[in-house]
Amino acid sequence: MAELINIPATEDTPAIILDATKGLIKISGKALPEDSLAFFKPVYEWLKEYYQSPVETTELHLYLDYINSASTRHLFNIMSGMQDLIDKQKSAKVIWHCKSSDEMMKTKGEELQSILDIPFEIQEQ
Amino acid sequence: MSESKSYYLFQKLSNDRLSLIFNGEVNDKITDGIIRLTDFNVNSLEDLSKMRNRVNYIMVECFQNLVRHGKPENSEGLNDSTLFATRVVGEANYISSINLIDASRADMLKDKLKQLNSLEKDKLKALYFEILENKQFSEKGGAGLGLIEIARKAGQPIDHSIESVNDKFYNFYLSLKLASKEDLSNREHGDTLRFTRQFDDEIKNSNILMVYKGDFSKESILPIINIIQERMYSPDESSRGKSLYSILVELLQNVSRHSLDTQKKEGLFMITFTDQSYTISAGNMVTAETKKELTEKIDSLNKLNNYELKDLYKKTLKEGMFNEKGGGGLGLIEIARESSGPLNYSFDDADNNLSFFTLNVTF
Repeated sequence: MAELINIPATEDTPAIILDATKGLIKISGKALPEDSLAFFKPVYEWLKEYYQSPVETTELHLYLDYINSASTRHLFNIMSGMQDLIDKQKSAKVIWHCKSSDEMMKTKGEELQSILDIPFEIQEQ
Repeated sequence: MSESKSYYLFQKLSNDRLSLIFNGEVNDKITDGIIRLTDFNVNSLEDLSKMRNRVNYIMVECFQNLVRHGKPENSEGLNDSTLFATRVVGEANYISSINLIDASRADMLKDKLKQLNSLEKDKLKALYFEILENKQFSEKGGAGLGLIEIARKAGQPIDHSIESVNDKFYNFYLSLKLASKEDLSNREHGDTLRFTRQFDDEIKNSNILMVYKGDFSKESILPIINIIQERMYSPDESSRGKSLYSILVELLQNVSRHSLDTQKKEGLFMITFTDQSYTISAGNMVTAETKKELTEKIDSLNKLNNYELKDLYKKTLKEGMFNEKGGGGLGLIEIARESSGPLNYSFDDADNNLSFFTLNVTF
C-alpha cells in the first residue's frame, strides 16, 4: 500500500501531504518549480500505487497562494486522473481553498472546475 | 529595423559574466535580494568563489552607505535616484554606486576619502579602532566607519568622484574592483571608476530601473522576483501585485526554458518606466526554428481579447500535451492575460543564424 508522504514547502514549491489511509492529498503554498515534472514525479508515483487500493473517499485539498503555468498543467493531470476512482465506484472530490480577496487563485480554481468532470468545490475564506 | 534596447545592452555587457544594475532607492529587502543574486552567481564561478565573503561584506557596507546617505531632503526635481551596480568581468568583480549628497557634506567626504586612500593597511585598522573607541568621534568622523571598512576589505584605494550637480547637491561616485589575483601596483587610480562610470551614467540617465544579465536558473530567478516586487509593488494581497508576480515568473522561466544551452541559461532582463507604466523585458538567444514558432504564437495571441484568451487557456490546459520544454504552451497565454496591452516583441539578428528574442510586457 502507498505510504504516507510529507513533502515540506520550499521557497518555490508547495508542501504536499499524501495520506493513503485517510484518502487525503493536500497541497499548500506556492508552486513555481523550475522543473515541474521532477517536482510532481513523486506525487504521480504515489497516486499510481494508491489507485491500486484506494479508500472509499479520496479528497484533494488545495491551499495555493500561487501556481505557475507548468505546475497548473500537472495539477490538471492529477485532478483528471481522479476520474479513475469514480470509475471504480469510489468517491473523489477536489476542494479548492482560496481567500476571497485573491482574484487570481479564485479564477484559477473556477477555470479548472469548468474543464473537469469530477466533483470540484471552491471554498472561499 | 533598429536594434532593440535589450539587445543593445546585451551586447554592451557581452564580456560580463554577471551584470546587475539597480537604478533606484534600495531598502533592506532589495539589498537582501541583490546580495543573494550576486552571491549565487559569484559562488558558481569557480575562480571567484574564494572572494565570495569579501564581495558580500563590501556590498553590505556599500548598501548601508547608500541607505544612510541616500537621497537628501528637498532634492525633488533632480535625477536623484541611487544607482548600484555589481558586475563580474573576467576574474574581477566590480562594485559601483552613484548617490546624491548634500553640498554641505561634499568637502568633508572628499577629505575623508583622501585620508583613507593615503593610509596603509595597519593605519586603516588603527583608525578604525580609534573611531570605534570613540576617541575621534565627531559629527564628521562618525559617518566614516563604513568607508573605512570598505577600504580595509577592498585592500585598495577607493576610486571615487564627488561632482557638483547644482549649488545644493553633489553626486558621489564610488567604484571598486575586487579580483582574486591581480597585481594592484599595476592599477592606476581612476581606472576602475573610468570602467564603471560610463555604463552607470548611461543607465542613471535613462528610464531603466534595473538591468540583469546572467544566469536564469531558479537560484537567480527567485531573488530577482523579490527585488522587483519590492521595487514596483507590494505583493501578496493586492491583485495587481499578483499579476506582476505571475508575469515575472512566466517571463523569467520562459527564458530559462528556451535557453539554447541547458547548462548555462543566459539572458537579459530589464525594467523600464515610461509614460506612467512599467515595461518588463526579458531576452535571450533563440534558433531560427524557435523564432518562427514564437512569432506565430505571439501574433496569434495578440489577436485575441481577454475572453478568447481565457478560452484558449482552458482549451490548451484540457487538450494540450506537454511539450519537450515542459511549458506546454501555457506560459505565454498566461503572460498575455496578465499584460495590460498586446505583447510586444523583437528579434535581433545575431551570429550563427541565431536571433536575440525580447519579449516586452507592459504592466
